[in-house]
Amino acid sequence: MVSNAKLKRIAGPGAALAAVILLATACAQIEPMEYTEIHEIQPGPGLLSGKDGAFVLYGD
Amino acid sequence: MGTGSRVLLVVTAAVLVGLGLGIQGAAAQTVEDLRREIDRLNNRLDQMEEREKADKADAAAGKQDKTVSSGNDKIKLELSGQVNRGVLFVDNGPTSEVFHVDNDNSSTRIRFIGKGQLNEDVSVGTQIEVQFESNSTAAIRIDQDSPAGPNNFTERKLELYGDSKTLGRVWVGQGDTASNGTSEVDLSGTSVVAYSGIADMAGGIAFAASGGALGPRINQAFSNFDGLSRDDRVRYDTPKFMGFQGSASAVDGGSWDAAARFAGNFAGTKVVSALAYADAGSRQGFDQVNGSVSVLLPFGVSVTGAAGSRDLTGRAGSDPMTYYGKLGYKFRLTDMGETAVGVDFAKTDDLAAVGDEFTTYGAFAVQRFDAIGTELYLALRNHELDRSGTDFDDIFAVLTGARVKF
Repeated sequence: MVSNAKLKRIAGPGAALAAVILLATACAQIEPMEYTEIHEIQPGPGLLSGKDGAFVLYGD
Repeated sequence: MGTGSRVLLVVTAAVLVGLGLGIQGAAAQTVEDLRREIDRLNNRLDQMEEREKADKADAAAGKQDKTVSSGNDKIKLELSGQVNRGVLFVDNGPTSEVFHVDNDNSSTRIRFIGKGQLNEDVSVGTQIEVQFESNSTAAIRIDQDSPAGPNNFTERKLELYGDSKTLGRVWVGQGDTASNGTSEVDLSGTSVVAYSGIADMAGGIAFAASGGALGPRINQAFSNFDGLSRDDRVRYDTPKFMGFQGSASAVDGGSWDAAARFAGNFAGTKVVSALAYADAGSRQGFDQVNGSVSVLLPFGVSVTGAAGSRDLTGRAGSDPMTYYGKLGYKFRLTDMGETAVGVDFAKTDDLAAVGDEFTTYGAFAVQRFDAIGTELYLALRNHELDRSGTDFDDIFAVLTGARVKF
């Protein structure tokens, strides 16, 4: 279980995150965006594979 | 001439005429054979010319013959990967060393991704991703005599999924838990060398006390509490709605986690954020809350923050907690690719021992070369650990290298 003390300590960053998210949703012009997490191989060209960044072994 | 001689002459003449006719017939047969052979060769030549024309047309259209083929035309298989090597200088006070390293911020690896479409709504996929880190920045020791292992491939992802556009995606196997990456959203363009997981740069280096004795390593005094990492699990992701997505996973050994993510663009301002809760009490002895947010403004300035707190089972005193902040700037110095620079700061309290205060700050730059899938990077970072009753020297580290995506 999450203790009361910890809840108090995470209240700050939690509130900041919530504020950003609420601000985001409140904005009328949301365009969903593709985001590749930083621990993944990033999109973009490759040295050998070219602009796709991957060798397509088969398929389209 | 006698009768006998006349008969012999007639017979000889008949034999010669017969032989002549036979030879003529055989010659005619040979000519016919040669004609057929020429026709066959002409046909073969025509076919080769047709094939050459078709190959040139395919090449012009960007279609090339594949050296691997499949009997299933609804399947796609991709191979990708990267090499990320660098040189790391470390000074922990009494000792300074230079290491030739694999950069654990984004390790050397290869990946196979398979995808198949069942119908308009449902698809399936597989992912095999393994890394090979020789002398990883996260594993080196200041007093090592030979490179840190393991000297082989290690698992990252070995998983499959079923995906429905309307119902979401279920993952099965070794891969990201729902909370993995939730402390690490980052739009600065510098994550190859600096992000909230600062221990990836020189995490195995130990602080040295004033007498020279080695104390805790950087990765023992610091954590960004980034969820439950990768593990053997079942994970569910909801469909994305207005940039939002929810996830939950049940991990081998009884742990579980849940997370919410957002990624959106507001009139040119990009925002990504994530928040997670993880209960690993049954296996790792803690539960934790963590999250991060990153904002990239249209003119290239980015602000990134992360925070987390961990509740260690059975431990008295304050719970470990961490903060991270980064200010970045992306711009174009050349046509070859984007340049990204930044500075950051992080603090983790009470992790290696109650009362510990770990602090780090760094400065870094990354230059992209898009045409060759390469990023060059340089980072400088100082690490401090304050512990009551012990005076530890700071650890200073410089990492430079390149990540080449092949």
